[in-house]
Amino acid sequence: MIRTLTVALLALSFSLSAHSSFFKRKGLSNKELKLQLDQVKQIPEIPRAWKRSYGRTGADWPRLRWKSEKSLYKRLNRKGYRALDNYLFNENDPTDLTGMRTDGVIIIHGGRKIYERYARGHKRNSKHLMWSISKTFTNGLAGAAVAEGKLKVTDSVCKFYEVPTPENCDSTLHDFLHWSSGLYWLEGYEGGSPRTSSVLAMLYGIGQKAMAPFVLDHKLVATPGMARRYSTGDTNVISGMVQKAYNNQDVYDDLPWKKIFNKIGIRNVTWEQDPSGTFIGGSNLYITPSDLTRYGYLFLNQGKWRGRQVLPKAWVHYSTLPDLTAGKTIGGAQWWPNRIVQEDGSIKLDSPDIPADAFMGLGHWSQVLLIIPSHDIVAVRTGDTRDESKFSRNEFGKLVIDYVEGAVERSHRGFFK
Amino acid sequence: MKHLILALIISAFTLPAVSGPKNRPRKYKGNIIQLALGWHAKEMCSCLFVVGQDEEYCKQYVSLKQVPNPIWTLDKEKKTVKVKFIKEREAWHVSERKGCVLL
Repeated sequence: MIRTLTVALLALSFSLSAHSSFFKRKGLSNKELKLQLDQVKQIPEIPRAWKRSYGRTGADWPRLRWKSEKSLYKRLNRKGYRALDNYLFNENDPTDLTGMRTDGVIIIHGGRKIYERYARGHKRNSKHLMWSISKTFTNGLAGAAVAEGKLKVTDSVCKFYEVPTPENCDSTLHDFLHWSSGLYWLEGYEGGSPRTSSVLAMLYGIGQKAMAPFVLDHKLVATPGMARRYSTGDTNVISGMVQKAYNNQDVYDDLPWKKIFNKIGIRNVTWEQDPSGTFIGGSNLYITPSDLTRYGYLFLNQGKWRGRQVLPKAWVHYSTLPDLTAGKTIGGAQWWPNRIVQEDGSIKLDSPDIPADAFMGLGHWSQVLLIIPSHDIVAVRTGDTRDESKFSRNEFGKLVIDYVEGAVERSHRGFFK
Repeated sequence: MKHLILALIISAFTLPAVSGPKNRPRKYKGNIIQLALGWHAKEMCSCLFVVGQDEEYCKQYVSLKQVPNPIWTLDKEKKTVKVKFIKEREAWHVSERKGCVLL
């Protein structure tokens, strides 16, 4: 009997080890937590190149439109220009669902537009669905609320919502910003059963009428702050927390425009709400590629626009540098830093051919907002890439850098002088 | 061998009790048709009235491999989209800033 029990226990422990979330639910010991916090202090140093480019002279700002140096750069680096064209706009049949299907690309260098092209019926003034790049805007919305003192990153969700158990109150705005609320969530649009997709249920099913309460009604499956679980639901809770913090629908409706868009000249933007009036912060922002580069340029300049601090510099650092308090492989706060912290504390790059200081906004079907402070580059790519293996953000970033650097090098050599 | 079989039987009964339902995917209420109609109505509305693409482009954009296309009723004046396939769902364009909302 003892032998049987021993074998049973062994079998049970092997089965449990396959369920890693079982262990995650226990959380980390104080010692492990302290170790992580110590690491956090070391990591968020500002990249040297970023320090250099900040406050630089010679960089330009857009007024109604970006100043264009597209033809100059094209002349300086025809090969680089063609390489971008060939990679991004290479289809004979734009209706082929398995193709690259790029809709628009715009690249800004030193505050000037150096590449712009649209396809498949999209034009300069066509807004495009951002999918998860919307999350970076929710970051901005939360940043504006924090700067105004309406919210603190340490605010518990219980300050704004009723939650199923007292343990849920341990989830703070910081945790939601880092996709580590600990709430059960199954992300996924295609593949798998639609009935088990949390994100589909939230956007088009039973959660659609009031998304934040729907998300909060999920079970806690990890200690808040201790494990990352990518969740569009977490982002919608952030939108909801901002809505509750202001407690005035008109003020809330106007907030993104008043605090950010109007200040940086974004005009072609739509941000959809759920029927309860909460911005669908995880996925439903529509904007033109050109206006999206303005948002990227705001973050490139650490929250400053034409000498005016639109979002606090500290908020931009907090959001775009890798954070460790939420687990061991984690991005920024609703942003995707290129640097990924691995289990052993070492850092690897998400896109190895893009510099370490780069950070991104990424969306379903390969929407990309790429910001490279050390190269003074903001690049946007929109598309409808149903087969996401067709587009590589690493390749895109590499081609962008090659194009810019090639042109700059030739210009320094006085090629046209 | 007898012990191993017995152990596996015990594990099979105890594992679900310990690991609990949290490790199994949650199934949400509502069926695939409802979800698909929600997708069709909302995304068609946004494609037409927010992005500003034409009907042909938008119908291709929202079509899904898994389910047949529904019957469309588009009201371009009121900016509403109704879709029907066994059940019916509707989305409407609220404003330039707020885009479309699924009813």
